[in-house]
Amino acid sequence: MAKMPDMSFFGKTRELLYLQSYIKINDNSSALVENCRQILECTDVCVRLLTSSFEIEIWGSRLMVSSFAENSVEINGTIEQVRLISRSMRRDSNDIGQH
Amino acid sequence: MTLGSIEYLVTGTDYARFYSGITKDKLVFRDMHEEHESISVTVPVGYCKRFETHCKDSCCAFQKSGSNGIPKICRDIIKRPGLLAGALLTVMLMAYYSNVILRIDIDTDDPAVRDKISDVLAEDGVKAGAYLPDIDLVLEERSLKQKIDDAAWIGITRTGSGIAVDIIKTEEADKGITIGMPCHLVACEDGVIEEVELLDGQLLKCIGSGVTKGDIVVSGKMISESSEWTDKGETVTSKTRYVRSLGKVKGTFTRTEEFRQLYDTEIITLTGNHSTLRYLNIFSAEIPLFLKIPDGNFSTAHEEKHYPEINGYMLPFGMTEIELDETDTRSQLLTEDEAFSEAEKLAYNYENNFLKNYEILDRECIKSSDADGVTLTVTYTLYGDLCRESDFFIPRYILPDEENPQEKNVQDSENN
Repeated sequence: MAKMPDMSFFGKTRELLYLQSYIKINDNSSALVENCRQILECTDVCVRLLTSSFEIEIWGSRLMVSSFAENSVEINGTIEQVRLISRSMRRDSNDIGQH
Repeated sequence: MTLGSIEYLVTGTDYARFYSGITKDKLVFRDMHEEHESISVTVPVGYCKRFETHCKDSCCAFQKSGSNGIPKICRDIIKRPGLLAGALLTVMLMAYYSNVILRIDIDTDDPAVRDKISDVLAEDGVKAGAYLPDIDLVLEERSLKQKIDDAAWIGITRTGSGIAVDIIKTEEADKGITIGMPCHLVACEDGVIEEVELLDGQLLKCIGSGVTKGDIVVSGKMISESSEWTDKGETVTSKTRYVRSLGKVKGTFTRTEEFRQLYDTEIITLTGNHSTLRYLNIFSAEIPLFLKIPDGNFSTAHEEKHYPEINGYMLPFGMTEIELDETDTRSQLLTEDEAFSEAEKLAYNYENNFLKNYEILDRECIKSSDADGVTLTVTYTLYGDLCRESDFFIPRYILPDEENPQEKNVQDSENN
């Protein structure tokens, strides 16, 4: 089970300054991710995005990425699964070579 | 994406750098996905240059695989030069026809006034095909007002690619009502009075009496006298009353006219050449389908308008065809008989135009000829109006100031 991020001063600040990532999913046809920092991967079946706190994996079929505004990404296609990986966990797993 | 977009296929080895840069550069893109070891992405036209620069910086090769919107339309148009030429021609025609006169609307029912206005406009160069910005409508209005007496007011308005001439005709005031001045009925012909219908005025000549031109037949000056006998004798009081003589005085009179026809004359003949002018009518616009009006003199032989109809309703577009016959003016030497025949035609036209209001009782013709031509002297015996109204007062307001008499009374100009 993923470790829940602790409530911290920086976490609260990000919330107040709207620096958190916002994910809006419409049925299984599209998802809008705001405050996206980087696109890591973009294939037909998997899209990986990096936000300030999480790495977001979106699995599905015929996935396509569009960006119409700064730091916002829209994923279109048939979405089957959305996975959020905490960046701290990602660092840990990278350190031990699991990912 | 409003102006259109271009589809790219990006190939390279380091997609991570490409993805990273595309976010950092804040590029706008659409439908990005990996397929067959390449990335397909659609980029708006405004971001294309930045995108290509980014690809080069990321060491990725790119190629354009398609386009949408304006780039696609431009590419399609370039492939079809006819469309481009048609559009260009349309623009040029629109620019041309929006600056030339296509039609002239003259707002009058009187064909004579319409013809006069058309002639004056044509003399001044205002006709179909004239360049509108070169025409000063104010000056043209003044010109029309000066040259056309039948018009009390004339206004010209530009209506799209045409001009509209509005006219208010001069209406002659009703003499009996607006002038209201006393008048005589004066003989205008030498003749014999046969019939009198008198409504007002004093008849000075009896039925059966002869009159010469200028005689007062009905007087508007009515003098009534009354006498009274007193111790001092007879006192005569005269009272003068001025009226407007109203009535009809008919009689028989003669009138002699000469009709001259020269042997050497000019006639208008048809050359046998025909020409057809076609116009495309769209709503009120009349677009000429010819480049130039043929040179020469032409008379209209036939005019046809073809408007398609649907269920009896005429559609607002169609064609107008005007067939013209070319005419030529030639000099011709007439024989004596032909000259007399032409003189007879002149007499016939005179009778139709000037003797319509009279009954022709008798007509005597005397033919004579000389070296240049023939003369037909016709003596008409006519029955009709013998008199015309003749005002005998000059209204004070029409006299110039310097000519005004010392006395401001109405001047009696009666000279009888």
